[in-house]
Amino acid sequence: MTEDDAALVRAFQAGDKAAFDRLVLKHKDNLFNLVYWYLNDYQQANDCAQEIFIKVFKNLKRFRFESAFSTWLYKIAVNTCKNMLKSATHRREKMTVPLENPEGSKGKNPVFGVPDTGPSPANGLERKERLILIQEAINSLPEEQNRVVVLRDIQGLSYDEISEITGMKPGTIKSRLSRGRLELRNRLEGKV
Amino acid sequence: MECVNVKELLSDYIDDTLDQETRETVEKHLSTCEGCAEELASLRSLVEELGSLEKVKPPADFLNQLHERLDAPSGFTKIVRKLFVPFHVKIPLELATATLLAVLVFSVFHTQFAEKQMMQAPLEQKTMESNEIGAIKKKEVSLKKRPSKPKATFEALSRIEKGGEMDVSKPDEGIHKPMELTLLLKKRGRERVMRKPMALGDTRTAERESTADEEKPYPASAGATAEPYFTEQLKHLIEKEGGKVLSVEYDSKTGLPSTIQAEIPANCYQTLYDQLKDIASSLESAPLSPQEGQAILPLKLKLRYSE
Repeated sequence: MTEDDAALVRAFQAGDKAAFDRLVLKHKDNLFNLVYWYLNDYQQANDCAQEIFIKVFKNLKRFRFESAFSTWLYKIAVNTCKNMLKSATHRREKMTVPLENPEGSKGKNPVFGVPDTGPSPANGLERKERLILIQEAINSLPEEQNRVVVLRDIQGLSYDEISEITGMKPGTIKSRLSRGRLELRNRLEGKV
Repeated sequence: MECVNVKELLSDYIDDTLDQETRETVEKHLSTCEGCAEELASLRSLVEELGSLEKVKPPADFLNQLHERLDAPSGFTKIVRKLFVPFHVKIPLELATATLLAVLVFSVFHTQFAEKQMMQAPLEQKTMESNEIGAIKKKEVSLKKRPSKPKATFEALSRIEKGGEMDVSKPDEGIHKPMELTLLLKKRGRERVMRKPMALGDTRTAERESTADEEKPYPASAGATAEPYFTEQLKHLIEKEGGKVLSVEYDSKTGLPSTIQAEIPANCYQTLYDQLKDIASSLESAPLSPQEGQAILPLKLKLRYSE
């Protein structure tokens, strides 16, 4: 656990409610990104991320510092996403949200997308299409491979962190990651 | 090492999680195998691409939304608000509803109670009520009288349980039906009874009996057994109270008197009862009163004997 996280958690446990806000501000982007890649729906990701932080708020006083706060947070996130994916509501409402406007009909400016690094608008469009393909390919992976690929390659977590979050052994993580990467590469091969 | 085995290790090779020996073996193979080298390049590109994807950011007001949800009232508070807020509208409505419910419940139970009373009414009366159009008045009369019946039965039963020798039971409701008295007589009692008229009868009779038949059991004309004497004794007591004996029935097996039908003025019943009590010798409680307004009281004296 980083010193900052531990200090903020202790401050919250001592009664400083603002410390929770600082924890949220610090972790919301990473957490939201993880949830979004799991659920593949911006609005549901927003609801789910808030639900996760509400759970954290309710249980933070009982946090024993047996793991890093971020690991504990991701553990809650993975379980909450899993439950949400199981729910009939999610299955019914699941849809592919365009990466160029993940907030859907809300009409806000896109908060996710491909930075326009090239001089040509066509270049940016190609990159966005590539991202949509990646998103679809990841979501089409078997669940156990999808989890590992997202946590390792998109979130950049270590094998130990993944093991602690998911409860899987490092050997299992390696094999699933290997198969997931190969499968993903095969699905994206020849596209765009 | 075969290409198949190397390809399985490429993911770990990219993450640098292979041990030194395996890593060197893979590198040696990659240096000679163009296909596996291309495979490694494509996988590494994919991993780098995934790692470089821009993160999806939450809405700008994410924290505010979270605060709104955290500050939102709990389910219980929502229910309380739904039920009681605003007070000036919902409480009167709730009170009115509660009153209406209470009235409904009372009416339902009241109807059921009346039906239950109907069910408990005597079968005979029910038949009459069903057959006669004007049965409503009779029903009311029977309902008024009904409470005395279980009381009488209870008193009679309690006397039997106490070991009383005389059982008094009131006939079922009918004004013209005789009042039944059961007298359980013992030989000792009978012998004593035979002499009892001296004390029970009027003074003049007692004097006459004592002078004329001092050593004889009453009456002088009685037979050899005590039972006929006792019958005469009862007749005497009834007639003395202004009543009359209507009939005497005898038991076909023993030949002893079993039932005496009689009638007496209702106002003399108490006196007669006291005298019968002396004869039975063990009656402890007061008898049942005859019906109010009844001039002549039919009696049915059942005689029982014990050794």
